[in-house]
Amino acid sequence: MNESAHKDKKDVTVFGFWLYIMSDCLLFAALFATFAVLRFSYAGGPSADDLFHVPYVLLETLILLTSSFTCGLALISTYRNNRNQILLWLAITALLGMGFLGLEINEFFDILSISASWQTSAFLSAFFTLVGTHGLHVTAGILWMIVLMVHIWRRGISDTTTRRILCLALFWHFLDIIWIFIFSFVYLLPLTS
Amino acid sequence: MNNLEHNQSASHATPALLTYAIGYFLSLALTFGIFGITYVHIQSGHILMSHELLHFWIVVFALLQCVLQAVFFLHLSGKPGARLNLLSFLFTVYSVVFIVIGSLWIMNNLQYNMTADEISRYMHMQN
Repeated sequence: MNESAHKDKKDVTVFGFWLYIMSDCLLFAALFATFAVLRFSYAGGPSADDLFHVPYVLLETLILLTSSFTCGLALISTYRNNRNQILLWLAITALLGMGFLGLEINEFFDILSISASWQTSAFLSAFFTLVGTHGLHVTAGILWMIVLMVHIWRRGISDTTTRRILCLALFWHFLDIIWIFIFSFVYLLPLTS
Repeated sequence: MNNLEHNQSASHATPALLTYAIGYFLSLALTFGIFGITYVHIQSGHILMSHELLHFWIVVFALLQCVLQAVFFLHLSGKPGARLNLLSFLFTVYSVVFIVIGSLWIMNNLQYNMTADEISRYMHMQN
C-alpha cells in the first residue's frame, strides 16, 4: 500500500467510528429522555435529594475530565512517534478511568446499602440504567486501553495503532461529554427544585 | 480532489498541546463555575436566584461545556476536511433535541390529562 492508500483507510475508519459514536449519542438521548420523564416518580422511595452528594460527584467529574486531557496527551505522543510516552499517558488515562469507575460503583453500593435499588422506583430504574450504561462504556474503554497498551508494548507503533488510538481518543472524549450532561441534569438539576 | 478527501476525519490534523490545555482549563472553569453557583445557592437557603434562573444557567453551562469539548477535544470545525463530521454531528444534535424535548412534551401532556379529576370528568362524559 502506498502512502495515500494508508491515509484513506485511516480516514474512512475514523469517520466510520465517528458515525458509531453519533449513533451512541442517540442511545444516550433515549436514556436521558426516559430519566427526564421519570425524574419525580419516586414511588415512596428515596428522592434525588436523599441519595446524591454533589461534592462526591464533582470529584468523579474532575477525574474523568483529567483523564480526557491525558488521553489527548496520548494522542499528541502518537503523532510524535514516542512509544514510551504513549504508554505512559494511556496508563494514566486508564488508571484515572478505573478511579472514576471505583467511585461510581461505590456510589451504587451506597444506594443499595439503604436498601434502595433499581426495583424501588421508576426514578431509580432510569437513574441506574443511564449512569450504568455510561459506566459500561467507561469499562469498555478501559479494557480497550489495556489491550492497546499490550499491543503497543509488544509490537511497537504502526499505522494500525495510530488509527486505533485516534478512535479510542474520540470514544473517550465522547464519554466525557456524556458525563457532563449526567453531572448537570441528573445530579445538579434535582438539587435546585 | 485528493486534498478534499484526504482530510475527512475531524481529528486528523496534528493536535496541539496548547489546544488540549486550553480546553482542559476552560472545562475545569465551567465545571467549578456551575458547581459553585449551585452550591452557594443551596447554602444560602435557595435565595440567591429563582429556580428557573438557576435551571437556565445549568443548561447553558452544560451546552457551553459540550461545544467547548467538541471544539477543543474532538476538533470539530467547519474546515473542508471536517465537514462530514460536523454535518453528522449537527444531525445528531437535531435528533437528540427531538427525542428529549418530544418525550418530555408528550409525557407531561399525558400526565396532565391522566389526573384523577380529568379521568372522572371523562367517565362522566361517557355515561
